[in-house]
Amino acid sequence: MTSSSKNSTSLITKMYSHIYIEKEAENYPVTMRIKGILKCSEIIEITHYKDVFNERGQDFLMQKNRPKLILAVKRENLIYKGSPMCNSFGYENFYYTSCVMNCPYNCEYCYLQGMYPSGNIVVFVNIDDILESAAKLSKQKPFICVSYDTDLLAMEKLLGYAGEWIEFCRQNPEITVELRTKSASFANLANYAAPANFILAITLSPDEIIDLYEHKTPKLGRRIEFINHAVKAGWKVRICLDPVLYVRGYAQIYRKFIDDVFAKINARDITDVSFGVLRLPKDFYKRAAKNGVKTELFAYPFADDSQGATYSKQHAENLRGVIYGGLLEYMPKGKIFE
Amino acid sequence: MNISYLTETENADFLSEFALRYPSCANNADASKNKNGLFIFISHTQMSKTPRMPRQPGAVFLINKITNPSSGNSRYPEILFRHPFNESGISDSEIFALYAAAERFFERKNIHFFICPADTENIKHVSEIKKWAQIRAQFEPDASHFRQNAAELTQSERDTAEKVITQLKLTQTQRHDFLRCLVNCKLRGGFPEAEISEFAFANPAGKKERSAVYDKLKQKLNFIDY
Repeated sequence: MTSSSKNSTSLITKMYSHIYIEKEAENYPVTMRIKGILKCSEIIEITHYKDVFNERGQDFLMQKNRPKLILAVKRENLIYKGSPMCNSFGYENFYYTSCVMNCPYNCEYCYLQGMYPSGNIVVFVNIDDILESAAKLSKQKPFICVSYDTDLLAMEKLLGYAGEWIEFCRQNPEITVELRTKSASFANLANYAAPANFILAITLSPDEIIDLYEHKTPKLGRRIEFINHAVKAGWKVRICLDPVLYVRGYAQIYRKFIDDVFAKINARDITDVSFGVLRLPKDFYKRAAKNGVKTELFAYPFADDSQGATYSKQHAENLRGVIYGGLLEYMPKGKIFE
Repeated sequence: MNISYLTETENADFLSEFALRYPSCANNADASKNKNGLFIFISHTQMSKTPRMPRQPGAVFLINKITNPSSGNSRYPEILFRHPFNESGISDSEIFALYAAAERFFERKNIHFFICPADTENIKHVSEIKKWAQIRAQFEPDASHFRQNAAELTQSERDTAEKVITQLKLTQTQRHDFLRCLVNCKLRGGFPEAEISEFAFANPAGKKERSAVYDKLKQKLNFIDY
């Protein structure tokens, strides 16, 4: 290490350089798997994940850039009722789970920035308990989203949780599971056959947006390639245009983007499309500001209401008009959800 | 970045030393002084306090976990920077208290605790730690790591803003709010010269009318159409 590297990335620890493991989490198969893959990481024993995750005065931005791992046992709230801010696609019984808290990607608009005090990633290693809780809901024929607070497919090599949910779907045909991702690695799915009740929801954005705001994520071209591989292999694919951002030149950017996507993807192969303008939980900014988050995307005068915060009525309508109008040229009305 | 060192020897009362260096530790008003400083604590503690420390002669350890043996509570210093040292935890109530005190004056990522086992070549290892601290202190966040897109108004933009402020006789609160609004507009899509120029010639009659004109201005700035 020399003084010439004072501004270099070499001064910052590697991703997952340290793994904090709850004593109770020591002997789980996932813990063994992670330790086997990250052999060079420093292991630190902890009592409870909140001792590390909720520490005051953490440098959120630096952690988000190179997160550490925290392995824990989830003791309560294994399944949550779905949020009204999210689309339930017509399902009456809508739930979500958090097997992992925090995401390896680093999108500037992400609500996680105002949700957690830390940029480190918590992995709940008792995945079997979470799957068991989900299975108990089968009589309700529910719709369960499993990758909201993270990107499970992006962490598949390390955790194998997407595979667990795929197998769960095979054993529980009454339950529909959605796995949302920005990952473009089809290799993570190549060894599995696609269950009919498993939906891959792939988030797409224009390259202009990806380059500026979706750090560490794959480019649009790679995500489109992934969709085509997945569709060919029999997976149900949902395209998510979420969030749609009110940026300068938005009409041209999003119009061209939709045309480019459906020039490369056959619309008939897609299960459905969902879109949503940027919307954030109430009081998000205070927490995000506390975490040191600064992005021009939040320089908009959002107003809080009972649901949360979004763009002005006029701007939101304009955005919706561009997206919905563009999608209607390729998808039937019944397959477009907001 | 300033570096503060505190070295504990077996006979030194380091808590007094800490209080001596930071006499204002009871006074929160001075707490912001060292927010950008680096705090390095070097302990030459007995091996018995570090039961988990591997017995490596001559090794220096960076502490990643500090346990208070009387309460069982632990603190975890942030390790965000690469270093050439081994890592270990330590179980020591005084060091636990010192860490808690250091947090009041330094950012967590700038607090680094080291252990040099008492039976080693102290001078050599202390100098290794200081060498690392010098490199660490020079580190500046790279724009590529951190998304801190803060816009500032140029002098000419400020002059334009001040014309409007003077013309509309804005209160201090309104002035602060207006400037923040302009920075947000600039972040979103550029300084709104065209949108505010007409307001530099507005001539509201009384306080009520001035308020109405200001509300109109804010509405215009906040919801610029792209």
